[in-house]
Amino acid sequence: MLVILNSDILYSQTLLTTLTPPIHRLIDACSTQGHPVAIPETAKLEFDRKQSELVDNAKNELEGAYATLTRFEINYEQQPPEDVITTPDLIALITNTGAVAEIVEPTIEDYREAHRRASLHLVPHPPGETKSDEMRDLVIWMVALRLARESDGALLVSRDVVHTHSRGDVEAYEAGLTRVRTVDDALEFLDVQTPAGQLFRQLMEPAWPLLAGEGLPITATPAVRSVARPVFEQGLDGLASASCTLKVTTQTGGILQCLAEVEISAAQQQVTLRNIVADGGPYPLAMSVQTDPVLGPTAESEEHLSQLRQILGDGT
Amino acid sequence: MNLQMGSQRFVDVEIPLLWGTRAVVQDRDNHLSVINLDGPKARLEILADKPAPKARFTPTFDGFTILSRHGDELYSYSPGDKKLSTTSIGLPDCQVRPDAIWVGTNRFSGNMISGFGVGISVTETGIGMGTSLPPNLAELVV
Repeated sequence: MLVILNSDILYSQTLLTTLTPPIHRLIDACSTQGHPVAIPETAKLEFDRKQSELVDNAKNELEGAYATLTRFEINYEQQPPEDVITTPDLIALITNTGAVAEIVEPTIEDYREAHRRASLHLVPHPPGETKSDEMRDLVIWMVALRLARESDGALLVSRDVVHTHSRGDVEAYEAGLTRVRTVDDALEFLDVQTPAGQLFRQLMEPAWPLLAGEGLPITATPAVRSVARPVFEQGLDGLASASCTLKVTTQTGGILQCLAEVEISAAQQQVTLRNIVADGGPYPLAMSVQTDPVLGPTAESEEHLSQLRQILGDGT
Repeated sequence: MNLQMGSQRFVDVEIPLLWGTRAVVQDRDNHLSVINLDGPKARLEILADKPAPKARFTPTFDGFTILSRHGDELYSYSPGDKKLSTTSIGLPDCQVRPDAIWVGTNRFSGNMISGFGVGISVTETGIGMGTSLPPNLAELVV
């Protein structure tokens, strides 16, 4: 599957000589699994703009260092800053890892349609939202839809509101464009378990046999295909709750999708599945089961809180 | 407040390090805590290198990401690097190391900042050392 990356995912505050660790993990997964990577030219230009600013800063820094060495009459080899510091080549950074990647230019049709939608505030423009860079976002949106149609499906990794809003759901579905908001969600989609995914799988483990017993079309140990948009809430003595969108393999090899919520107390955890979509339905609006707690309580918070209050009150 | 953070000494300051609207404090075990002062009441988000009680978060490969009430990413924290980073708040990364505090590509090392509202102030548009307390922040109590 083609993996399309937006500029907000590629963004870095530091001058890059290698990919950032999260992007490296994603590109590694693409490389290992044979997924080509596409960067819309608009996203690449935004990446270059930010990196060029950082190049200018780094050159100024180097010139300042030369000036200091000169002032103290220290011998050194002065290399022109422009020879030492250059704007990174995004495609080279990606392909150096072994992945296949290309910059995709927008077509004139992409521009025209983006222009029309921007002017008329058409989908996927979120209602009531005004963005100064909406035209750029829409060009990327049109490129992503076109690539998905041409490639028999694609994955767009972007946290931009124009790309992720529900107003784009139907169009994305029809084009075969899957959208995820974070690198970790993209990794889960590509069957790479993330720390959040692993923790959620751990919480769900004792609930599956009970849910299967309640009539869900799954085995007692189903394969969790992906954990998307995980949210955890910390309590005073450990994890208090968790939720995510889960995809699980059914007994017949299909996919069960649902919103999963886990409420954790010292004595038990309650697992609730909502909006269950799977073959063999309909299923109840919500199914709940209780299990023993998976994670033990932690007692550190009170102590740390007390220490922090002391710092804020009196200082160290 | 009197506090040592890395090689920085903050004496008689109200907030040693203000990252946007978030106060950053280091304890004697070098753990960082982050308190959001945006709004009428302070909200603890990170307590001693871990998500604070009531904070929403998601674990990451090198730490965790603090989320908004709607589940959107606000910023990430790496306890190993003592580094706060964000792509959504528009602030430079902030790292508290034993030898220096790094804000973006700027390094603060071996300073004593005394008698100011804020020791080091980081905003979307700049960095200040020894500044007055910005208006409309919640009181720094947890």
